[in-house]
Amino acid sequence: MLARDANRDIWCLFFSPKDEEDQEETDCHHDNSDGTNNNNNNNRRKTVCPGAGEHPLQYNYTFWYSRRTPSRPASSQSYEQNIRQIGSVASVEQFWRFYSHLVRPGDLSGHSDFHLFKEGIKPMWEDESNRSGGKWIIRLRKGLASRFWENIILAMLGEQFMVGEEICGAVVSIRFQEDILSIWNRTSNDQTTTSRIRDTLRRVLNLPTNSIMEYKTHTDSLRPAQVSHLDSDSGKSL
Amino acid sequence: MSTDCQKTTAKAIPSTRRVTINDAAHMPHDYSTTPGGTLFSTTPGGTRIIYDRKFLLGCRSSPVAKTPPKGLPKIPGVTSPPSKDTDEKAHNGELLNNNITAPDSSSSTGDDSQFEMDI
Repeated sequence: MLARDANRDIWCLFFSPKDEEDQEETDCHHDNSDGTNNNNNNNRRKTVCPGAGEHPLQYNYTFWYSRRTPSRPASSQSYEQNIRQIGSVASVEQFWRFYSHLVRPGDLSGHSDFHLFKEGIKPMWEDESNRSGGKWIIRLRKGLASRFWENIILAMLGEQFMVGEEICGAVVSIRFQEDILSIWNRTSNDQTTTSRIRDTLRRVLNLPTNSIMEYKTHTDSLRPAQVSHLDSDSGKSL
Repeated sequence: MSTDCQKTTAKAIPSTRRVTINDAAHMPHDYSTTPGGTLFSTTPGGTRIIYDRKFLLGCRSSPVAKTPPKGLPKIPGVTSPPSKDTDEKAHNGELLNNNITAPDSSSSTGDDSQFEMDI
């Protein structure tokens, strides 16, 4: 695969990673933390960079995990406390390192989510980047989440959506009787963007026939008992 | 990569092109272009780092990609601390995403051979 390294202005035909004595991700020199990862490390303390010989991503991404016990009400405050960062990645190899050390979504228990969002964007609608945004959601019957999660994040990391800066992140939500995949973008009323995301999802996910994709603005999701497929200008169901 | 076996005269890939400007008015208004047009074309929205799925999966088997990441939190049932390589089938019974030693395990082929189940 031919990929251009935008930072160094060279074409990378193929990289053989250097000898792997240094197998740790490289912290950028402006790292101002002591490197420890506290519980609920929700404040971004450091930025990661691709290691030598690694394939850089167009954007850095952060993995998050959240879980809600069924008895706890889903208030905004309790949500923030239940979500935590797992780590950030700046290269393909760093991504695999994290991904390979995470349980597959299909094997998560309870009401759990994995989120993979661009660095600096919290996976919450209140984040500045999400306030005017929305998401495509795809409901999956049980058993499919792991595979589709992998495919959607590979598409996102590999810049397959081609919507400029619009993508914010992706979420896989494990629930009792079905699972939900979502991809969030910044501007819910940008129909060119939301259509292109929808088309890319169809192309890269190869969804089962009869899959329905819905677009929801984040503010719509907050309204009680809103029937989302009646959103007039936010995209259509399949 | 080209597998063309024709003999051609080899030429270096041009890396610079000289355009002489004598008048400041001929300079482009757009800071990101050069006189005479940019040599390397760009994708809509500018040059981006794009990887297809097959390539990304191919990177998975490199040694750089397998070591445990620094600072991985311990969340039981979610994260997996460093473990020895184990034999794993790609589907049933596999708890972790890691340690796939065979690059062509069924979850990583580029085609639709994933679809083993009735949908």
